[in-house]
Amino acid sequence: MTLRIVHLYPTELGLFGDVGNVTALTKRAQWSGVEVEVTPVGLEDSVPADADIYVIGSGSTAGLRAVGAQIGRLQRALSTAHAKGATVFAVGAGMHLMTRLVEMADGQRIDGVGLIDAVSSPRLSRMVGGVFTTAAGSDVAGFVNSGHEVKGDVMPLITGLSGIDIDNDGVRADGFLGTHLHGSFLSMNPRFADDIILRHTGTTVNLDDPRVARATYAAGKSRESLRREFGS
Amino acid sequence: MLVALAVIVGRAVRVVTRLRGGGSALPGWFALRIAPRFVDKVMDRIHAAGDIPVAVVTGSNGKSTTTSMAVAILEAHGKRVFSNPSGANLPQGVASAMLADVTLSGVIPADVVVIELDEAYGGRLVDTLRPTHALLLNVQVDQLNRFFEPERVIEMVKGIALPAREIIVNDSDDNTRALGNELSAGRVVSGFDVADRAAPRGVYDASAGNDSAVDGRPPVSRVEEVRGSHATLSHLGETVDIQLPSAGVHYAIDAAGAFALASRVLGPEFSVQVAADAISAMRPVYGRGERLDAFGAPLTVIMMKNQPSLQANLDALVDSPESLYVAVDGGTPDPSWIYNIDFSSLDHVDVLTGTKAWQWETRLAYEEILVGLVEEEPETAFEAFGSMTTPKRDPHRTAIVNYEQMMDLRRHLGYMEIEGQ
Repeated sequence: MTLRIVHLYPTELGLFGDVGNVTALTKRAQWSGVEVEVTPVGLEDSVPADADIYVIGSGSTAGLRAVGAQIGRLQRALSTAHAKGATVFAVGAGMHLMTRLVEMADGQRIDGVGLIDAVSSPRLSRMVGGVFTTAAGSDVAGFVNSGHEVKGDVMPLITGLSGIDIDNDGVRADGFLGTHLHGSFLSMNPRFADDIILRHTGTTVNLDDPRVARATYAAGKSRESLRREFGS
Repeated sequence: MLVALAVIVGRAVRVVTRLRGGGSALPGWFALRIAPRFVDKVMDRIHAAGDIPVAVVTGSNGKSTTTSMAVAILEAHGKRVFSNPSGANLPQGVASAMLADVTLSGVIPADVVVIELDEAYGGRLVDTLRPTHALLLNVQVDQLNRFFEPERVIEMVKGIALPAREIIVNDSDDNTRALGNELSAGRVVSGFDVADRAAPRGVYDASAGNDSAVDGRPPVSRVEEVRGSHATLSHLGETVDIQLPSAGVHYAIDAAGAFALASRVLGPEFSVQVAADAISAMRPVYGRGERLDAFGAPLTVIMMKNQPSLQANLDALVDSPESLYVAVDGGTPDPSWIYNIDFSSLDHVDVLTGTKAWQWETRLAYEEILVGLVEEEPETAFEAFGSMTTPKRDPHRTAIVNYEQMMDLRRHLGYMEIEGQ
């Protein structure tokens, strides 16, 4: 089988190296013997509704507005794909656009895709800094730089965070993972990438492959460094 | 009176800090504590003369290089220029720079003032500097931990340009081009540009939804062609070859900006050949392609601050460096942008170091680029780099480093004069 990945709006929503999430998914699947097809989708393109994984990244206010201006097209494709079992992985502004409504700091209200039953609102103060988990058995790290938060009755993707003044981050739902963490997130925390690959291909990422092993080891050391740098 | 005291104390601090080999902003900080309006007073004297152009240079990348180039061109035309040295672009840095030249009564002997300004602090400083000319280089993705998003930087750069009566904008950058269009009412706007064939991969301007066309201004200067560190510029119909201080299209664009600014300041006095000779005689600005001596051989230091500057420098590499050291520390708090970088110009890295070394190793692992050693401690890593590598071909050893690691490396190698002095 071929794992079909759609990378949504890499130009508008790719401010924080978000393409790294696509890189991690692609390489780890390929190195485990899975064929991968990546389709970048720009503002002028139609959005395929039959892919396995949709990755949407973070961006500036202008990027969020540009994608928000044509949310209908995205909404139709993603609701169809999600209903058919696709996974949506969303970071920062991309995650906020997956809520029902994005409230902007200047009062503008942008309709979201509505995959998450929540609203995105501006934060009183922006959160910027390295974050990491400390609980036994949990090893997640990344860098947050966001002025918005997701408000609603949602299950966080990551709990027990230290580093800056947030305890939890992101959204986990059926076929949906969202976070504010950069790194990029899936390259720095590859077990999330491996779970997504397993779900769609039935293939367990081959941690013994030397290329996978190198990237996995380096990611672990990156999280360790980040914990040292941003820990008190 | 306060100004005289500020000058005396500031100068004394300057002597001490220079002896100790550091603290470039400290003299200015002291002067501003004593006379908070020190810079204002000095600028009052400059503006009182009536005809001294005051130019400010700002943008995400290239400020130091372009300022040095503009100063070199103006001096080659016989002008006395007051400027702030590379990197001294915050209020204390500007005050420190003034302390070097100012008389006790606050007079700076200069025919032209050219000041490099930090994007974020510039808005405050322009009220004091009251620039007549503003050179807007670019708005690229830079220091998001500090600036959050490019839209904010565009507003900052606009704030720096507003008081000037003449604005010189980079028309190859979507954002500065749009600012040139927006600010044309009541101001003279000139542009500089780069031919598509000279920058086949683009100029790495930040995507902020600006895609307007140039609003009826032919470029004053344009980069026509770049071959390594040689460039051909055109200037109002004349064409000239120049030697850049370092290789890369980005340095050629800086040169075009310096040409445009100097020609607007000098008017008919401006000579294309004098300008070309002045730039060709320049040495690289600190760490921007500078050659140092390490392990008994030349070491080329390539400083990069962000995604566009790293990519521009990688694009300029003719061959993959034979012996390569990469050092990135907490001065680059979130290097996630390395996933946007095209690393195809590198075939290996000998040593990766700094607190971000493992994040780089992760990135290079996905590109299957071999790395000889990952060692987070820079001094240990640098010594290992010396013993691990025996370069045989020019340009010998290469170091790609962030700003903080560039400063540390220069100090480590005994280059005591520091940026900002």
